[in-house]
Amino acid sequence: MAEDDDAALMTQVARGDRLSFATLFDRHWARVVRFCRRFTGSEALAEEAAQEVFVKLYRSAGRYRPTAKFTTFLFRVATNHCLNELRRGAQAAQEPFVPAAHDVAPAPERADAPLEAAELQAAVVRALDGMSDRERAAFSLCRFEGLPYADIAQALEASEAAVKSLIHRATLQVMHEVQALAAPPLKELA
Amino acid sequence: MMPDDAEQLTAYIDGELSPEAVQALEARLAADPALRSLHAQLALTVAKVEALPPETVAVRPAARAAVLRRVAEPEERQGFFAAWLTPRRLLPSLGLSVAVAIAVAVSLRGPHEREVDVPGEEELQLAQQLDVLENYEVLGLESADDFEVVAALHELEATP
Repeated sequence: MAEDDDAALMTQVARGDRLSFATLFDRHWARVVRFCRRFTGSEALAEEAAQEVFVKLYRSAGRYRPTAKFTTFLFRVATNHCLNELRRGAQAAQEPFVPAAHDVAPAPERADAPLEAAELQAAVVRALDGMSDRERAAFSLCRFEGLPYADIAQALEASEAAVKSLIHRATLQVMHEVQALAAPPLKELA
Repeated sequence: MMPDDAEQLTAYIDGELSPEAVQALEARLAADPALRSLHAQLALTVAKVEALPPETVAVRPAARAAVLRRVAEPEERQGFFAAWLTPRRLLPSLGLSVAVAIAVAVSLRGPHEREVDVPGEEELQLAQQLDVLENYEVLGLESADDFEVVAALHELEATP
């Protein structure tokens, strides 16, 4: 199982094994960058933040216990780092993240799919932008990283009840943005 | 619709409710059209979001190399020096260092080491001549006899 394998690698990292660390880096780099990108809303900050997350992961490997899931530990480090960065005011408001066209590959059977996917992606980004930091973190970990509520609670150092509430409020915001896509602007109706 | 029901719906869609909670919520869904409508909208939203393809992330070898280089550095060096080499800490430290250096320099140059200016023979003669001139000035030179008076005064001063 990949999760067990990651835990074993992390145990090696705690002993200073940089080869195991490189393997973990290669496996999880993309998802950490994606998470940081959604969290910070900045393409440029995301990679920089992801680098810091991995350095902190290496430095804190001694605190990792194999009884915990590696991804939970990883996203806990990532969430704390991103929250701290946002508190320091590093949010790049001047450079909002707009997904590239190739990032939202269309379903092949529909001609209007590229536009729909791009619009949906943009609606999700708008909703993420309107969320609180913790809602954004909980929503991203749930919807994009597939973490169960219990793991998200550990990553955010919150109760499962709080996570349930965060995810519901975030999902409602996305729902409203998606519904706004379906409703044509008033000038088109005129 | 109960206030908690809406929150339960998202957890229900995510498969995060206990069997008992699922049973209770499904009973309310069957009886409440507004709750059913919200459930349908939330479920559609979740399905659409989760159907989005993952955003691509290019792996840059430079980023990988940078991280591996940083973790290879001794932690003490990074942690200690990175923490201290900031203007916020450097400026007060520099000011304190200068103050300590001045205090040490002053304490080393104590009164016992002060140089005493010992006048030479020429300087002593000059001082005596100035003294004589001062006496002339004080007394006022009105005639040649006054030179003799001043000379007599000096002889009296020199006599112990």
